[in-house]
Amino acid sequence: MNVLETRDLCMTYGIKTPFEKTALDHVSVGFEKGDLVGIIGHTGSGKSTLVQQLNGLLRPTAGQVLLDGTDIWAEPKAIRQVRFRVGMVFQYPEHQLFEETCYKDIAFGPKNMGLSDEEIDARVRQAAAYVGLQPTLLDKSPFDLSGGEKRRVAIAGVMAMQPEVLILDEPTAGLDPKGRDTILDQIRAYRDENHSTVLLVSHSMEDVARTADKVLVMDHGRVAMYDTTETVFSHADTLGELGLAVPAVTRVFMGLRARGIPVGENAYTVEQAAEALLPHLRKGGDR
Amino acid sequence: MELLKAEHLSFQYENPDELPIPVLGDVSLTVAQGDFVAVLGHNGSGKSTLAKHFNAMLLPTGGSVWVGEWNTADEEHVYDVRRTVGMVLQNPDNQLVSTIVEEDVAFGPENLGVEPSEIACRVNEALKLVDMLPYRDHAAHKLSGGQKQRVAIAGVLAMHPDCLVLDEPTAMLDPKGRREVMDTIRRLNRERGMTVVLITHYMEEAAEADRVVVMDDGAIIMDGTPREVFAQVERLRSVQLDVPQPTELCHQLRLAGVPLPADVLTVEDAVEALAAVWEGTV
Amino acid sequence: MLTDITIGQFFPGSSPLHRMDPRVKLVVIFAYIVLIFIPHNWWGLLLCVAYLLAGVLLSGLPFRLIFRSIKPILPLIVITTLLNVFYISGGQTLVQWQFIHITTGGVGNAVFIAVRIVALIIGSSLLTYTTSPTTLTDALERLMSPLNLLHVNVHEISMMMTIALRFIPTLIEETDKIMSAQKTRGADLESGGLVQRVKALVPVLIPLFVSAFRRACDLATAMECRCYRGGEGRTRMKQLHMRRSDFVFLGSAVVLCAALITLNILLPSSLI
Repeated sequence: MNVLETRDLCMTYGIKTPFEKTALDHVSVGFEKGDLVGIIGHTGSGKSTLVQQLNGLLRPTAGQVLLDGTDIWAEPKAIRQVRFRVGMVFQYPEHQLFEETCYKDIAFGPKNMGLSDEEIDARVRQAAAYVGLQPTLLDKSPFDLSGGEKRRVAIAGVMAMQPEVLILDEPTAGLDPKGRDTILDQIRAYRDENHSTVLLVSHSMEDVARTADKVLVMDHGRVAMYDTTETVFSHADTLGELGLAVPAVTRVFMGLRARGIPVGENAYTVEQAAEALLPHLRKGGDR
Repeated sequence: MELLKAEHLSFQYENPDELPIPVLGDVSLTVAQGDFVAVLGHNGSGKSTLAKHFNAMLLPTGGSVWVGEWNTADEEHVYDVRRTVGMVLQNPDNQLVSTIVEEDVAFGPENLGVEPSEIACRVNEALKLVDMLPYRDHAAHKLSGGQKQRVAIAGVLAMHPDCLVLDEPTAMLDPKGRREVMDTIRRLNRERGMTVVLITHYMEEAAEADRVVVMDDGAIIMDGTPREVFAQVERLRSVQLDVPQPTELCHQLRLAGVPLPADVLTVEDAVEALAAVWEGTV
Repeated sequence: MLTDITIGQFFPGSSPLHRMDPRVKLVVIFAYIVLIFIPHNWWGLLLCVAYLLAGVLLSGLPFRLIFRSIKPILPLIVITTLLNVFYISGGQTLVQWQFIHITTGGVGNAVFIAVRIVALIIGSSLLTYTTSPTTLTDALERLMSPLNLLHVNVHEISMMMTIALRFIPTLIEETDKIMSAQKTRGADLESGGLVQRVKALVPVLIPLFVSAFRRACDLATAMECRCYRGGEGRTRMKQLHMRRSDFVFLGSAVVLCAALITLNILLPSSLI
């Protein structure tokens, strides 16, 4: 059963002006409970528009967004409730921090939901734990933290609302390898613990390959592919045609196959690739 | 010929009422004319602080930094230094001064007091070098991130520098923008002999340089060709850095006993090396 | 959306009006805005309109674009027109019904004033449409340069204007983004009383200020990296030379002024 789905979702910007632009063109996709979906596509493919539709920041020009089977715009006044259930972490979320302490900033969302003080406290501490934030940091000003820590405070601010669907737009942009790995691991752990649905918008094929179970590929406002990570990355040629680069290890496998070496199925993470190659290469070592 | 030289450079931020915060400790580095050097390090390793020393935006608290004949601490030559070492920053939005592309590119030479007719020539030439000439009268804020960053590079090129120092120029760009900027930088180095110092934490970008300098905790810990540096997978890991995926793959297989070379860097390298082993086994 | 704002937009081109010395353009258009209030008769007004029409034709911009500039102040024009029609009386009575009393004089006045406002707006739009913001501030700097004698730092003022113009669209976009981000965290920016609304803006304004300061800091570094050191010893890529056409243009404004005054003296006023 889909938690969130779209039916023939269309979005056109600047209707009846010379700048008219179709950003979404009859998009119908569904996300199940507990899914961790990577959303990829080059800039302008419609992926940002899609996720902003999913939590009601933008209103469709045609079609529907269904949350638990109900059109989110059925009751336009209740759109705030939809945003509590479909949380969204924007790109560079640290730029939206504003409170005096990290604690207050993380509590901003839960407070707006009208929760009790005990409930807010529990959620703030839990969310801080999800993103690996030391409890001592909670009383500090968010503006005194390092870049990576700020980002984690901002993500915790949305996690604390315990949305059924959590959308993250480029959560690793601008982070160094260590910061990037930490955040991706935490996102996975959050999903595993909560069984909530997580949508991860990213430019990095490597990040998506490592983190997501399913991949949604957007192109020109349409769904180009939507399948398991394995299947999507096995269509390296199609991805290439869409202007998307496949992970470097996948290209190594493609190169080997082009040379007539029967490497079998595709690999899209280094671990997988090593596992797939080792039995064949070991033989030589043993001989 | 040496163009940039840091001699036992150390730097600390003054911290009122408390101990100063050390950022760089005893860094010595020379960059020759025409080099393409990547400085790699995690956030807070001191790589950006080092970059800011090369154009006298920061002055050493110990040791010295030389640009050609000039000591950067010599106030008399501060503008010579800044003209010679052009600096491009991370955020493309925050370094464009004018609304219109060509007027922004002209900003540097105007500050230098260059003759008006000469400025127009330089602007033309610089925009051509970064492939942005058709956009000369466009509004800067409407360009894509990659285009803005190329305009920023043009703005620096119009000062006729000998060296470009780029401080994480691609960190805020999408893959297309990153490609555009990297291609531009590489072309300037290959075709124009422009000296390039590229500060980055993307190993794929560092792999495109001729030389990689790795920084950690305010010191240089590795210095060599990309192949030499990336062969030391464990060491890079220990300073919170990654290696390119093909290198990583061959490293893991080698640990498992497969006889692969250590200096695999690119996809082609890996295919070559793996094919050789595979064909030897069948 | 906030990003749709187009006031003061510049449309690049190479028409005679685009190429005109911005100082001359600035002076002539300011003069025109004053001159439009001189004529008191239809012939004078017609002359003003003709003069403006020539300017529009010289700009090479489509009429559609020119008329779009009037749109934002359309309500103002309608209100002043209606006020004139209903409250000014003179000449023959056109309509007399209960308290409504419309006269030819009132209608004439209304049209006269509407034309004045429209001409005023189109005139100033012509300036911003055909002059890049930097050129405009540049021209202002040079026109104001005598103020340097009074120890006013004209260069710094014009630099600030250039930077402000450059960053307005960036900050508008940023505001949009922060508002979206806070809305997804349940911030209610649209309902409640005045106090509540102002309070609700805090989560938007603080990040906006922080961001503006960060940008200012970055920009200052970037400007220093590009050898900026104030106005001293600075040159300009765009040299301003008065060409013959510029003198012709300046002359035309003087002629217009003289003609309008003459017409005012020779012809009776059409205004009441």
